[in-house]
Amino acid sequence: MSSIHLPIEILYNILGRLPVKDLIRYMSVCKSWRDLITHPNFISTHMNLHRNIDGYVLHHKMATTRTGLSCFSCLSYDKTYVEHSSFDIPFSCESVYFQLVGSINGLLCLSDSYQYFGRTIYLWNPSIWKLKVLRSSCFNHNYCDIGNFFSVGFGFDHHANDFKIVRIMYFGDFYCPYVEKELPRAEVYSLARNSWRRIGIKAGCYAIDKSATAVVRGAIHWFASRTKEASGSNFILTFDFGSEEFGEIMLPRYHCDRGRPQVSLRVLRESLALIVGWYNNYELIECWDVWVMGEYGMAESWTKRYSIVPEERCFRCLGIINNNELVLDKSTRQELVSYDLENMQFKHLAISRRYTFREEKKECIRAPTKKVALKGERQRR
Amino acid sequence: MSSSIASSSSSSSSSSKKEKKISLKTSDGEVFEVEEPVAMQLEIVRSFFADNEDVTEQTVMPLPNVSTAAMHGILEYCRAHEEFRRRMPEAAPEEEVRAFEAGYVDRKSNEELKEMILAANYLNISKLLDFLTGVAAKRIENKSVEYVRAFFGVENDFTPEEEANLRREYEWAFEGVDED
Repeated sequence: MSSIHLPIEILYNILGRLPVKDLIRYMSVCKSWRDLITHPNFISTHMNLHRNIDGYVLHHKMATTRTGLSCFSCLSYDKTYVEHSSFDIPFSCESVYFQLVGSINGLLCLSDSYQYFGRTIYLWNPSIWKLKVLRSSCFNHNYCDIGNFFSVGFGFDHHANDFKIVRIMYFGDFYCPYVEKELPRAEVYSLARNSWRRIGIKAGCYAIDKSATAVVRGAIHWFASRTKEASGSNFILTFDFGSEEFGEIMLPRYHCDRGRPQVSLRVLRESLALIVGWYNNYELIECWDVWVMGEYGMAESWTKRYSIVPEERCFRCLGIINNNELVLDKSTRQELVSYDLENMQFKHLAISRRYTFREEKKECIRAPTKKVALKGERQRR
Repeated sequence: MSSSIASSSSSSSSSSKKEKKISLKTSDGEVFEVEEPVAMQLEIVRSFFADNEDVTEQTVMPLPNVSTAAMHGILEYCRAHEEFRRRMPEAAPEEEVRAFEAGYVDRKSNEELKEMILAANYLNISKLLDFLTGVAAKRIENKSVEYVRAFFGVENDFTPEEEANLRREYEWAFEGVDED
């Protein structure tokens, strides 16, 4: 047995350098190690030490029955976007595919896909393999009623230091969703309280996006539409995770005479951005407009910052990375490219063989990967 | 390779006769005559001489927490780095530094490594401490719990049930671990 004992501050320094998996195992070394490793101070030290391995998480939507393929790739944060690791989801969902709702500090929020979306929610921390399945709700609803549909948002309340999920239930008609058969209902889940709470929501509108990806100033944003009764028009539905209130933001006049565009809300350099893709005759997008809301909440501050016609046609925009590059899906050749808004150049993202599978769809969101460490764990204690 | 650097450094210091030496006394009573720029890498020595203007060249500074064996290791590292600095004051020759450091720790047992960590901590040589804790982390990466207990000399104070529960709960973290 060794005779030399290292003081706690040195132990701190050594353990801080280890990967999360090792730390989880070394919780069994002795009680004082377990207490040190699970202490909030150590967790934040560890997160800071591993900040340099931030990256992006890329979700490959695929059937969970497929074995040997990873659902998530972690791309490095520097401009190379090399896939430095990948991971799978070690549990199955109730539909065929998982749908990613969002990711904060490495805690992933997932749900089922298609008509099952939003009914069951899975909170999963891949670094520590912790899963929480949320099947409950404040409201009774018929699980299989396809007329019901859901919109979900995942966020972080910085004041309360709490992860939250907001869920809106709509009671429409599956074939004609913009008819309101019943008033919508909304509820918010707090991970710290581990319970859902009913909140108020205005009637007369629908969030068209099922999961909201754009988080600006602690609020989440859905592309939304008025119901038929409230006659038409699109707008942005917002939800602030701090005040737990819904709000609305007006859209810019982005329409032109090119038909119905593909619209998505993203974040560009910390501002809310609207990406509008205009189709050519072959259902591929040949022209992209990028609108940016200069002053948050001020409708008159919307400006069309970029209007680009890349040489390569794409299927859809998956997100913005590095504050400057659109990630585009070139569906015809099963590959992802990034398009630099300033240099106007394409770059092929070197992501491995998985993209040869036709049935795959990909979703890209920005998310720190390993720095996460035990954060989700701490929130749950 | 490292010894050749150390000897070349001492030969160059003997050629310049005026070089100031500082005397450091280890816990087991051995006195080391250390070239001033090397000794000044030891923050505890630097601040001792900066704070006490009345100390002379004859002053022997006692270092009661450092053994002779650890002192040899510490000085080898500091002399090599002083040599790198002298040859290339602008930027250290990174590859050479890496090669030196790799060879330097390969020869150290786990006990020697820990002893040097303690010494570097006491002497307050942040660069060396940073390097050595990094080496210690590498040595315990992906190892079994038993290996880590032995490495740090830690007693298991869990009951068998508590330990079994932890292992069951985090089973995945115990897979794919290196053999001891």
